[in-house]
Amino acid sequence: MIKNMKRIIPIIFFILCYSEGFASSIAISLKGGYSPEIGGSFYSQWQNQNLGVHDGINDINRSKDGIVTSTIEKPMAILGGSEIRISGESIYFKSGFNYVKSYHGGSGFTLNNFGSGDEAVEVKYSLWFFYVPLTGGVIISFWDESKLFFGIGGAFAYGKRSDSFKSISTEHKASFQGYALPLMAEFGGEYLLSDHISLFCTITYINGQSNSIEDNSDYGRIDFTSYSFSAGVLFYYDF
Amino acid sequence: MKKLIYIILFIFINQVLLASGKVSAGITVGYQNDVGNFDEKSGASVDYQNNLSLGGIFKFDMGFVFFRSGVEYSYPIEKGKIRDGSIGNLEYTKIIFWEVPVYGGLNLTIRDYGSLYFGGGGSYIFGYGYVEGASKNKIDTQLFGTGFIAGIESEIFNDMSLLVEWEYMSVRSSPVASTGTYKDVTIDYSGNRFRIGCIYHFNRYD
Repeated sequence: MIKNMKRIIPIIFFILCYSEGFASSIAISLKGGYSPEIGGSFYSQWQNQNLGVHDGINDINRSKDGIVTSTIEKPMAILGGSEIRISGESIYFKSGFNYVKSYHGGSGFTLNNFGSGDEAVEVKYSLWFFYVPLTGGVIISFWDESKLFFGIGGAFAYGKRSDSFKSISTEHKASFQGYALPLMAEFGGEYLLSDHISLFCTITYINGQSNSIEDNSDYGRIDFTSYSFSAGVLFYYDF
Repeated sequence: MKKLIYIILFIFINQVLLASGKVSAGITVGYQNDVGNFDEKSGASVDYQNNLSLGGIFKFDMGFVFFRSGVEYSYPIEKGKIRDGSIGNLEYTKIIFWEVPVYGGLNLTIRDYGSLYFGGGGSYIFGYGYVEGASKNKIDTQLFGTGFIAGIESEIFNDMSLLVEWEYMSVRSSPVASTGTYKDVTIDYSGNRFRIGCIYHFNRYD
């Protein structure tokens, strides 16, 4: 991971320095938001072999009359971050730091028969990750009143996924830590409050997952693929 | 989550009452591909269920923020078909639902040409229909899922705009049918919805 970080940081630094040559403004953003769902399927080998769950969270929900269970929904996440954007007349480059953490969902009760009859199994999936985006794209300004932007790029993402399964007869926990270089796309709009401050909303799509990771005799991946919605404030420093 | 929604609603309703905002209403038709997301299941071989929707939209624009709600009925134009017993003995899906979106966010007015909007929130889902295998298993569920919305309004007459909108939301039901020992078939209402429609601005030039 450190080796990859060493490669990526100079690239980001170079692009940001280079882009300053054409820049007409630098803006720093503070933002917060959420992802309706994160983590992909949460597939793991242990679930496949011991629960007969072949597609993680998409297969995990089971119920039966007489045993209380609850729906395990895909985790919703909250996010926060700060980014720097260097923009020219109509092109921009952006980088920064964003932190995403599962906040709601991802837990509940399902059923399984480990050999001694049906048991309720408490299931918990959670995930946090951060990502350092590097995106570039187009900005369209409307009379210095509002702006629309579209961008694509990539990111360095690192995170930790935790799975927990607990019943009367069985308990299993696994944590998978790893990184990936997901692709990104984003679009959003800005409303200019003054010459130096604007409000913005962004919809971001990240697509990528880590290699297979081993922990506690279990194998799984961290899936960073998600949509997110965020809003915040941009502070401009014009040249 | 409910508390948060109530707070957001309270703030926006207050804004509507206190500010001279723009009140608009209209109708939309929409489309959703792979309703139920059965094709995403590992090993599944599925002919997608595709839904068309018809809805009413209510929108309050208050300067640079907006609140959007409405109601929409989504009905399959093609039932989902599961091939080769790839999801147990499940053969058909017919997922019908009413959706009540509750969104708020940033509204970017492009002078008199129209506006762009980006909002967060979610939708209430009232799901009906059935999944069919050896027997028909009825769906009867009420859920709330989080999502976001993005749209464009483009003026076509003085008080009327054409509207194009994209919504993504995520929510899943409890199991409604069985493919083996347990009830294990859930209905996943998550996905992209695309809408087009007309919206009338009641007090645009007040």
